[in-house]
Amino acid sequence: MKVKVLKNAKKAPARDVCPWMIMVPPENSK
Amino acid sequence: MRPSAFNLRVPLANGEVFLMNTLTDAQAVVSGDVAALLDSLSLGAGDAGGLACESEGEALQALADNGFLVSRDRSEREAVESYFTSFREDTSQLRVTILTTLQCNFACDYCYQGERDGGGQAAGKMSLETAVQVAAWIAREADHVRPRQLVLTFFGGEPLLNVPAMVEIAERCARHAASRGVTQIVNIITNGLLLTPEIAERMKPLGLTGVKVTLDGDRETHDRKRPLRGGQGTFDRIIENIRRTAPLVPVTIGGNFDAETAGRYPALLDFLKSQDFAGRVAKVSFKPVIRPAGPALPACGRGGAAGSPCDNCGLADDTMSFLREETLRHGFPTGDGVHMGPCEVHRRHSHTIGPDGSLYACPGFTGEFAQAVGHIDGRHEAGHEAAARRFDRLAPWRQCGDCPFVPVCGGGCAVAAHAELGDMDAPSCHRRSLEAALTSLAAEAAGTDAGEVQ
Repeated sequence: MKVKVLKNAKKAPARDVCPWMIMVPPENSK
Repeated sequence: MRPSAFNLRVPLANGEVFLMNTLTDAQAVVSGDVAALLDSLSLGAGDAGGLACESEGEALQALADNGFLVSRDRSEREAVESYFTSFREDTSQLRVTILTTLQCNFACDYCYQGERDGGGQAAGKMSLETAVQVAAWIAREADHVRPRQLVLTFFGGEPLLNVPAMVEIAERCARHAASRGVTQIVNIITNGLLLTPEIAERMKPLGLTGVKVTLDGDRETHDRKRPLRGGQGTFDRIIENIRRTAPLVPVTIGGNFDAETAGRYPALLDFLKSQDFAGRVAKVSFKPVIRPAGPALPACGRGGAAGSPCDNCGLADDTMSFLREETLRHGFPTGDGVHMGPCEVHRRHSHTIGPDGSLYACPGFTGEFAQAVGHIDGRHEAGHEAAARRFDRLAPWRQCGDCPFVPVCGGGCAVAAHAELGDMDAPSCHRRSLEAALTSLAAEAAGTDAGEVQ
């Protein structure tokens, strides 16, 4: 019965400002 | 107790199992018998009977402490809503992205910015007067929110085409932040052509901690995709500018790939690895160019609510996974590909300001005046309140059913959903990419080969 915790549940993850990429709203696309 | 709905498991080559709980962010490696114990609990066993042994009790306690086991009475749907609410209302940071100009000296074929006004001199450029007003608005917000950190990101267009406005805002905000005991952090997202050590030196005392420069593949590909407006290549000059600036400030390399260019990124990574500044590169992150897809695509059947439309997950997901692996193989830091959300659009105290002082929920919407949620001068224009309400209600994850990735995805990119599906409230599903990233994360964390997400 092994449980090796690698990352504690209390730590909040770091997140990117914009992890996705967005470049072309519809009416402005070429 | 029962297993959390946000548990993800990845079988490891040595017979053990990697567990991640996306709500608590806990990660663990457990033996096969512990994984079997979780299975039995999900079938309803275990609550009534006694524990088989002391080690089983210790294992269950460790799982419960890290959120892998939850009370049968606990509503995890409420827990995830509470998580998103606390993310939305977080006041530790006030984040402001400022587009000091929509002008750009580049003519990237996929970019809408600058296009609306022709991209040249006529495109929107923030005046110094507006810059002063932007700084005053940020100061008022900071006094209202009382954050520990003020994070300014200068973006465009090309922000280095309007250095005076950037310096004006950063200086005024730095003075205000210092007077309130707030730490100011400044980032610049630039095409790199006008990046100089002098700009880095000028901005460092104002909180500059990072510069992000975009390279779209190797020299030939980049020069074709990101030429000057006159058509000339830009790769060599950008690389030289990075070389001169990287000793002063951490540089992140970004890149926008599509089906045609994705294959040229490993050559870019080879090139970057051979440069003397390679060790100064803080992060490398490549992202797909998202184009309007016209009519909604058929459901992919893998992520999100049953029958929900799914964007270009095939190419984007597989390529994102491939390029992330390539980036790691070349020894550059990159995101783990699992923690993709919730993004800034879901933060109440995150704002984007256009060159005219219009306020937006995120930089991806600045090409559309109809998506403005307000103005720094407080004017109320038709549509502002409706747009603000629209973003306030934004919760695409509610359409994602029981997808365990919801806490680290948030339903995906609202701009992508808006552009591709015509509905910013719809999930923009990249579960396939998330699953591939989790397999990599498991293998790295456990130090052994990993299988497919279960």
